[in-house]
This record gives sequence, structure tokens and C-alpha cells, in this order.
Amino acid sequence: MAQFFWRGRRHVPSDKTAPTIPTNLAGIPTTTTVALTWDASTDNVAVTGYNIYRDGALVGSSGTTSYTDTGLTASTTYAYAVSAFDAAGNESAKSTAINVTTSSGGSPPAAPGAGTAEPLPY
Amino acid sequence: MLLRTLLFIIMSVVAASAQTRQIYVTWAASASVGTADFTGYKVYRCNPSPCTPTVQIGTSTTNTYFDTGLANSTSYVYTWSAYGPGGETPSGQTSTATTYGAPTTRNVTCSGDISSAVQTAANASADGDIVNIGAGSCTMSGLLIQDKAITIQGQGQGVTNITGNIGTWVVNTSNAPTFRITGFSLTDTGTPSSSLVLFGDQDASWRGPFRIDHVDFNYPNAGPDGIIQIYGPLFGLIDHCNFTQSFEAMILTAPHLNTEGGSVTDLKGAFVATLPYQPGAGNYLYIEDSTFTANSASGAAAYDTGYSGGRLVFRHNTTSNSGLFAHWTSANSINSMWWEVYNNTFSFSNASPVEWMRMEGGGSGIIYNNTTSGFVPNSMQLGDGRLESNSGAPLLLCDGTHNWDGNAGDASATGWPCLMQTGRDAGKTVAQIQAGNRQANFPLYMWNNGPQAKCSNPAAAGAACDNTAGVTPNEAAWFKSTPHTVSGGGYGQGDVDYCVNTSQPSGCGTHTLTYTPYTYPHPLNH
Repeated sequence: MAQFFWRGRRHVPSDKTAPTIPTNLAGIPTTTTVALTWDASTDNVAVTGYNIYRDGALVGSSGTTSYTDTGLTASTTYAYAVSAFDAAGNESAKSTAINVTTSSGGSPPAAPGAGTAEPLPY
Repeated sequence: MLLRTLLFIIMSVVAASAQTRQIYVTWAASASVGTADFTGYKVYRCNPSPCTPTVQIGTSTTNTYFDTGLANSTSYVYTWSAYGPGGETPSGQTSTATTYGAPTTRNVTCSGDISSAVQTAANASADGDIVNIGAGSCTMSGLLIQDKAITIQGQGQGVTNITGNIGTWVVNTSNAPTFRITGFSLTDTGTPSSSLVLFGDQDASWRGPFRIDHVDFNYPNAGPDGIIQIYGPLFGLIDHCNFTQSFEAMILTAPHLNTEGGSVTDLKGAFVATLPYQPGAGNYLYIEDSTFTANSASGAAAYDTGYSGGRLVFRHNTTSNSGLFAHWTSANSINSMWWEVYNNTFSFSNASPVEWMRMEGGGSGIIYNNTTSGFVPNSMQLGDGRLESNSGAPLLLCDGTHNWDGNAGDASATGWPCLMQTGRDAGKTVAQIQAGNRQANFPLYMWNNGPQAKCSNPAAAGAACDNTAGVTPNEAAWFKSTPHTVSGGGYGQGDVDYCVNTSQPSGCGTHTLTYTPYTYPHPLNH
């Protein structure tokens, strides 16, 4: 058993190959969120996860081929890109960026008018 | 004995700490109400004045807010905003109110005739004070005029027992639209003219709120036409009361002491008619958690409006042999009755069943989740007042010749839709109506009403609600349950007077329903 383990360790080459670039990135917006999906990458060993970039900055990672970005502002356009990485820390190039515009929140409501306050005896 | 003493001390402490103050705040609604831009209002408060209210204390879906648990003799400044998905818009308005001081309690012993003692105590009271009637049995026979913002309380239903005719207990709501009457039982075997009259000698502003709660009104033999009579545009809350009588109406309302005006320049109900219907409004007359029992063969009305309407929310009540009735628009009055009736149980078991609701020539509303059994089948009865004319009447006589009448192209319903008939909104002045600025469409909505207990209470045992409590028009041609089209088109084209559904619809005909019920229990019901 110890011999088998030794031989295995000895014969694994160090992984210097990055996963392929994720494709078909798409985003579905609400007023404050964008739900992203993409097609899986492949790797010579295994894809561990994906990094998600909003306007060039890393905002999170996902172990699956979907991610929901939250806390956004209505009626705003964001550029998203995704990369894949493996266990050895090899990261692919970023996918082609897509622009997603969050939904309009509508207009602020009209202002209420004047009012009164009165004390109650009970 | 020691235990009783300790309990008494504990209860006294609890009662003292519960004596907090309340402020009622209301404001002009946002024009965005009913649109996707509007979610609700935010209310902000600070104290003492002067200060800038920046701390949010709550939200409201209506343009009213009851702020509770406040300190005595403290000035509070309020502001309010409208908010929705697109943001928040401040009103830029503030309003300040100062709570009443610590109340002075004047005790009246419940023994013998207490009429003059209660009157003396009420006269000596300042706004915010309490007249406290003790436990026991006593009588009340004289006139009681209450014209201050005070609380008159007994020690509880069946604990403070008042007998005799108190038909002359008058609350002058012109001076005191806010008051509370609570905590006793009234029993009279005679036929008095009334029991409690709330009388405002004004009909040009919407005033309140009052609260009448935890009172038993027992008139087992006959009773007055209107145990509680409410005159004038007044709003408030009646809760946890039990009404027993056998004659006419238990609660009677009219927007003015004189239900019928003298001429077109003295038209009763005209002010209330200028207020458009607001489903789910907070400043209507709320009747909840009460019971209504009638003993006569054909029952009695739990609620009856006078000739010129009102704004009623009747919910979570139980009635026996008693229904709801509205009278009509007539020559010199305008009925602008709004009904919200939900989660009630109406049952009829006496000899001569009647309709469980009548809307005779006026009003609209939302009626749902009611258990209604033993009444005349399909007995939400609609009638119109088009024949209730008299010579020289400034309004009514719906014949297609007046500019407030509807079309003249339907031979079976010439003039439809008539002034203030079921399915018409309020919100117009008499001058507007007479100038031909006709009322908009607001159909009567009904859903999920039937004889099963599950209709009013989803948790009840038994079969599902079959939604068989529907509408029976008195004059069928005059009430349209499908979009009405007439040759030549015109006013009313595509309108519907009422819709019966199995669940809350998004609309009826061309009308869209935006409705969120007001919070239950009512904020004052605590």
C-alpha cells in the first residue's frame, strides 16, 4: 500500500494547464440582481470553480456554472466576465464580457400632501 | 386575602403602566397610489418640538397612522414620505401634536341613578381625563351630554351593569370627535328612541377617531331604531361590543342629523360624496370583533345607513338574524356608501328570512370571505333609487334626460347608469355632477361568500366554501354583470356594475382593483 502510494505521487506531473475559457455567458437582471449562467470549461485535470468579475473587479466565485450578483442599482449597466480555475490555481483568461442592465425601478412616487396630527384622549 | 391583595397591587401597577398616549396622524394621499410606483408610506417622528423628524417609526399602506405608547404632555413632530421600487419621495410637510397630560380620574359609584353624577364628572373633566364608573348595578335615566375628549369607562361587561333607558346619552362630536366609551353592560326591556347618539353638527369635514368598545347593549324585547346613532362624517372603531335587540337597526349612520336636505343647495351627503372610495382606508368606521343578535321573526339590521351613506368596514363579526342595509339616494340627498365586509359569519334561523345585505340605490364595495347561512338565497340585493323621485327633485329620476344620467340607447335601462347606483364611484361635488361631470365606474366586488364555515375562516372544519352567496338585482335590467354595450356607445360603454368571483380578481369589466385590507385588528383595538 505504501509502495503504491509512493509510486502514484511520484508519477503525477505538476499541472500547469489552465482550464478552457467559459463560453456563452448570459445574465438575467432584476432591479437589484443579475443572475449569470455560462457553459462549463474543461481542464486537463478538473475545473474547480469560476471567478466572476463585474466591471473588471472580482465580485465572487462559484463552484457551478451559475452565480447571482446582488445589491445592484436599478437602471444601471454592468459588464460581467467569468474565468475558470483548477485545483492547481491555474486560471483561464476571462470570457468575453457582456453588458447587463438592471431593470427600471419605475419612478419615485408622487409626494404625499399636507397632514394633521391630533392627540387621542385614550 | 393576602394573595388577593397582592394580585390587586400587581393589576394596579399593570393598569398604570398601560396608561400611555396615542396620536393620530393623517395626510393627503400621494397621486401615485394604485400605480406600480407606490408601495406605501414611511412615517418619521421626533420629540419634543421643535425638532426635525429623521427617525422612521413605521410604515403604512394608507394615508393614516396611529402612533401608540407615547408619553403624557409631550410634543411630537411627524413627517411622512411615499416610497416604491423607484425610490422614496418626502412630503416636505410636518405636523405637530402634544399628547394630553396624565389623566385625572373621577370616580362615580354605580348605585342608584348615576345620570347626574356622570354629567358632573364629565363637566369637570379636561380633555384626556377619565370618568370611571364603578362595579355594580345602577340606573341611568337622565340626559347626558358629553362634549369633551374624554374616556367614560366602567369596570367591564357584566361587571358594571346599567339598566334603564339611556336614550339620551349624546356625544357632541363637533366639540369632541375623539372620545372613548368602554366597559359596561346596558340593559333595557323597553323601547327607547335610542341609546347612544354621536352627533356632529357639521357635515363638511371628516373627523375622529372615536372608540366604543367592550360594551353590551341589551334590548331583548324591542329596542331603539339605532342603539348607536352616528350623524355626521365621523370615523372610528366599534369593537368587542354585543348588541341584542329586535327592532330596526342596531347601528345607524347618516352623514347629517337631517337625512333629507331641503333643496339642491341643502343637499345632505354632499360632502361625503366628494370623497372617492378608498379600498382599505384607515379612517373609515370600523366595526369588528362584535356580535349582533335579533330576536324578532324577520330579524333586524346590524347596520343601517341613513339616506346619504357613509364609509363602513364590517369585519370579523358574528350576527344572528341580522344583516346589513343601505338606503337610497333620493331627492335631496346623495348616497355614497362604501362597504368593506369580510370574514364575518351571518346566520338566520328565525321564522322569516330576509336578505343578508341590501344596497338600495347607492354605494359600492368589496364583500368577501363571509359565511352567510339561512338567509334568502343569493341575497345580496341590489336596488336602485331611480323611481324614488318627488316633484322638483334636483337629483334622481333616472330617465336619460339629465346630464348626469347615462346612455339613452338601451330601451330596457334608459338612463343607465343612474346617479349613485351600485357600481358608481364617489368623489364628485354636486356642482360637478349637475354640470355633467359623471361618476366614474367602481363595481361592487364579491368573492368567496357562502354558507360554509370555511368561507369566513379557512381553519374551520367542514366543506370548502362554495361561493354561492351572490347578487340578486331588484330590477335586473339596471345592473350589469357583464360589460354593457349600447347602440351609439357613450357613457358606461364596457362598464360592469358588479362581479362575483371565487377569489380576489384583478379587476371587473374595465375597472382595475387595487386592494389591500387595512391591518387587523385595528390599531386602536388593543
